[in-house]
Amino acid sequence: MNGKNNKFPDISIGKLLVQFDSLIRVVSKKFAASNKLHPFTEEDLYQYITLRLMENLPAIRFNYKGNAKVKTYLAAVLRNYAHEFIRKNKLQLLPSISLNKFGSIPYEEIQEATIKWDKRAELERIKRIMILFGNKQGKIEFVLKGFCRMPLSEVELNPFREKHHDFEWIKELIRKLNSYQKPTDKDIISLLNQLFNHLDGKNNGDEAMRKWIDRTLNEIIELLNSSKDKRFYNKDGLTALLTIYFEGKMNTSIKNN
Amino acid sequence: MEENLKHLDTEEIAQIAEALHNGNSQLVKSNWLEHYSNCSDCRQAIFETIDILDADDSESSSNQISNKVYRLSWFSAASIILLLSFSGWMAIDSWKSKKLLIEVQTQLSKQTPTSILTINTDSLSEKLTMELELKSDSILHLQEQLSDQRGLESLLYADNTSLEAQMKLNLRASSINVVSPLKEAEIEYGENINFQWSEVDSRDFTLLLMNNKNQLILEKEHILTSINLDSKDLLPGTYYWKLWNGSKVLHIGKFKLVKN
Repeated sequence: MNGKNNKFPDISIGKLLVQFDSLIRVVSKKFAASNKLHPFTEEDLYQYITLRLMENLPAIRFNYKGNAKVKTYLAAVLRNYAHEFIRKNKLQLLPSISLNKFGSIPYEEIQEATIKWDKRAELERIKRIMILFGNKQGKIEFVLKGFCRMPLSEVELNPFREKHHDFEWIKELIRKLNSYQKPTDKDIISLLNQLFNHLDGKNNGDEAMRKWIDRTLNEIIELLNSSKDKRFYNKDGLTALLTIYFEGKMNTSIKNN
Repeated sequence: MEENLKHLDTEEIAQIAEALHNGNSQLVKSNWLEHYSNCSDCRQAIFETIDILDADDSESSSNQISNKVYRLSWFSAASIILLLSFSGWMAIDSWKSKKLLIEVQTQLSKQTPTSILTINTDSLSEKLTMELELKSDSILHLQEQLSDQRGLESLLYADNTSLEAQMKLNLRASSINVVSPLKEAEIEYGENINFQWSEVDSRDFTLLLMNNKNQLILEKEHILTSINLDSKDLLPGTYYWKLWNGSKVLHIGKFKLVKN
């Protein structure tokens, strides 16, 4: 990526720890916050990461090929140590909405998270998550857009279009989907399933589609909630965020056209 | 296809995270893309690494801003002191010149040779400059010490905005009558801190004590209506305390521990 120009700093472990202390702090803070760890446990996590870095420095140095920046590489390494700590201490990773020390989310924490909600930053995060779906981004966005009751267009299916597809039928299906006044999840899932069965040449049941959507939504929620700032996304919160995201995308494409 | 079954290694994760963090998604290799499109573990690793980079960036940029502000304040303080000492020196110098002039005039009136007078004037001015330099140095040193102390104090006594906001929210809904410490109470360092409230339905409280960075300093469980703490165990500064009855926060209070 960077033409193997990066070199691991040839300094003592002490100096290295001083140089990257803020990064270790950031990692422990992020994982402590996203897992609702007690402040004392956050300190344990910080010490664990530091210790593992000290123990493993020769291996870390050896495995580093210089393709990414040292800081990014160490960020990925430290992230692994944080997961290791959480796994070893049997702390629950990526909490559900009601998880905290006392068994529920105190009102003021939700209030604090709501005050801190930054629309632009959240949209940037959801955009990143969508990019991370790589080859499946188009399909996922199309399905989620339908699931969020946003109007769909057959043009969005162009990347999946092949000669043998019956596009008139697809158009009719999308027209039907858009014409629903108050569609239920079941209606939408059924139509989307028919559509993607045709496009992918499969014969899956509606249940498979429902499970796939659920899994995808849960993964996005988990990624969104795994932040150093407190976030409490659930399915409704995510649907609201996705609606803003898709509206923004639609506005951009209208402007570009 | 077999290659895609293997998870991405740490450096590959770092490379992808770096590319996406910098908005260079075209640098992501196609085989990596194919892998993480189908692998939620690697997606999570990449996303979390980007998150760490974001957090580190915002942390270092806020540090840079505070450093700049710190340096700027030092620079302006030093400039003001220099300006003040210079104007002071000018005033003294003009006063000394006047004195010299009177001396010259007096000596002239006594018909003293002018060469001796010139030498006298120069040496006096040099001496004066040296003295002033020494004085301005000690003023600067004192100013430095004072500013360091003020900086430390402002750090220890600064309010925590999120806790202040929580406190305001909580005050409206507070169902407990606190006897001490009252809001904004100032407690002398060395004295005992007495946490006391009137009896309510809940009989088993947990007291949580936080510093102004919202770090939990102390947690005492099973308290009835009061508890005493020795303030010598704490650093001087602003503190927040919460009363927890097992299901909700009943009170958030604040006090300052001052050391004269």
